[in-house]
Amino acid sequence: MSIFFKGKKVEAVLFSPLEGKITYQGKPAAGATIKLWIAWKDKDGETELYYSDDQGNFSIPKKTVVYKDNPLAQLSVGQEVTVEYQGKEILIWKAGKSSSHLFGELGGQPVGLTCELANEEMTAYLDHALVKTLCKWQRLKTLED
Amino acid sequence: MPEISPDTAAQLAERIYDVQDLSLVDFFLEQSFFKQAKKPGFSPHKHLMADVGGRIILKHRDGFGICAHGSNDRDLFLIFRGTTMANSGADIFTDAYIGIENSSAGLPVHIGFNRCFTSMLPEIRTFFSTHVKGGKTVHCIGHSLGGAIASLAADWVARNTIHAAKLYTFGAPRVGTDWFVNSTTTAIGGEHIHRVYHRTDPVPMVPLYPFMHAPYDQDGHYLFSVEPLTSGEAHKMTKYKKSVKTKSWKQLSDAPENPYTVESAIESWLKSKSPIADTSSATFWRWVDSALIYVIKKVALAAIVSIQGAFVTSFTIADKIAYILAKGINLAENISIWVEHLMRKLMQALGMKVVESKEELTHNLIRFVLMRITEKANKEARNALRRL
Repeated sequence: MSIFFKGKKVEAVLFSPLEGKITYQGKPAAGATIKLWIAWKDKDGETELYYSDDQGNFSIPKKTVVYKDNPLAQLSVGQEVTVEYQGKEILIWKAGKSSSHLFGELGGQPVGLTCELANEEMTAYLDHALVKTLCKWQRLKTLED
Repeated sequence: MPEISPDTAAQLAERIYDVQDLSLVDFFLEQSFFKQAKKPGFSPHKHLMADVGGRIILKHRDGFGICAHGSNDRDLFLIFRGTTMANSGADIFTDAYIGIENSSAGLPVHIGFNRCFTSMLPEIRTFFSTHVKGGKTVHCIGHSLGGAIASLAADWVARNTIHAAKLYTFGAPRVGTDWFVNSTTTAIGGEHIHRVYHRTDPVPMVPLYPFMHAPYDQDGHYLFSVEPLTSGEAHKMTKYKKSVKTKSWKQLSDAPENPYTVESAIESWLKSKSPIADTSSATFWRWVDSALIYVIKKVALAAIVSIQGAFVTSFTIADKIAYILAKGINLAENISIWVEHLMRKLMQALGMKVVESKEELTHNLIRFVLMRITEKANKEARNALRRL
């Protein structure tokens, strides 16, 4: 059956770009290792590493995939961002996203993002996806802005 | 017993797709609809689990669900998700799956959906027996395949527990035959069934007759869309969420444009010689469905064939319908003419050479045409979904 109907290829954003500053007890966390894990087609997922600069700034680029769409099988992406700093491993972002949209996690791009590793509680953002994060931001820039 | 709003039902049916791994279940349950830990911000998750109690996770190769307590003492939730890319099933509409077997209540339902539901049933029983005290309202919610599973869950709750069931589905396929649909409508109560579907969503159009939708003889929450052709876009949960936004259940009921149950309308469609406009149109498949029902009922009535029992056998559905229609060909002219009209119409839609006389309509040919049209309907649904 499927030979007659080749699914159309579409692009999905698995992880929207995230950039900001990592601090530990208010001071820039320089040279921290940032581990991004995303899984969507199997349980193992893929891991990529990024590093913060001298000022604690980091930037994780957009992760996309082109796949054969079949809405009977819904896209569902798991995301985790962990920071390794001074021998500690701290989870700063965990999310489940089922939309293929850019910034589908929060409904917009966080501007003025800071992630304080000493924060103990993650805050939940559940309107657009299931997201919990230690990071805070000044505002969300929506695509219409 | 209050029902939840269309917004809430849609939000839950959408968010359940975000639960990509089990650790996200906790996030999902932090939504305000659910019972929360007594000291928020204090308990880490494992304590939260014990504090709240009674969340049960349901897993199956093609589906996934959660049983949970609502934010007040009256409500329970059973929320189901369809297939995701990670378990990349989506083969629930392949021919192997489209058969009929008896549900837990002994009613004829779709094999694939029933197997998915029954694999989760032991956990659902445990949820009710260990975590639920007193009578509650159980809100069963789901999109697509999740909606089909929610329908079976609501039926089970209504028959086997002291609780009241309410059902909310978005773009769900058909779950059972006439008998099941009639019986589940009585068990749950037609007014407690909220079936939401876009006119151009192809998934609620399959499987073809004898599969039908609950509530029995009601249109459900039909949402008009201007596009003539079926599309995968119309099946997406995000689209449903937008369509129902800020509306009440009452506001969510456009009138379907044609009552295809009117006999004279079906007869004139069957008799018309005009070419089939487009087999991708939502309208075409509604006519096929109505015409199939009309002709089969006519034959069954005249030949005293029981339709109810007929479909639950080791034969395929096409076999059974072919058997009934082939019987019809040998009946009096006022019956056989409709079988002829139906077969011509279907052959025309399939692009086959149309037979000249009813003698050519052998059992084998009828069976072949029915198998092709069933295949085409399923293909049409899958193809439309992939056309995005």
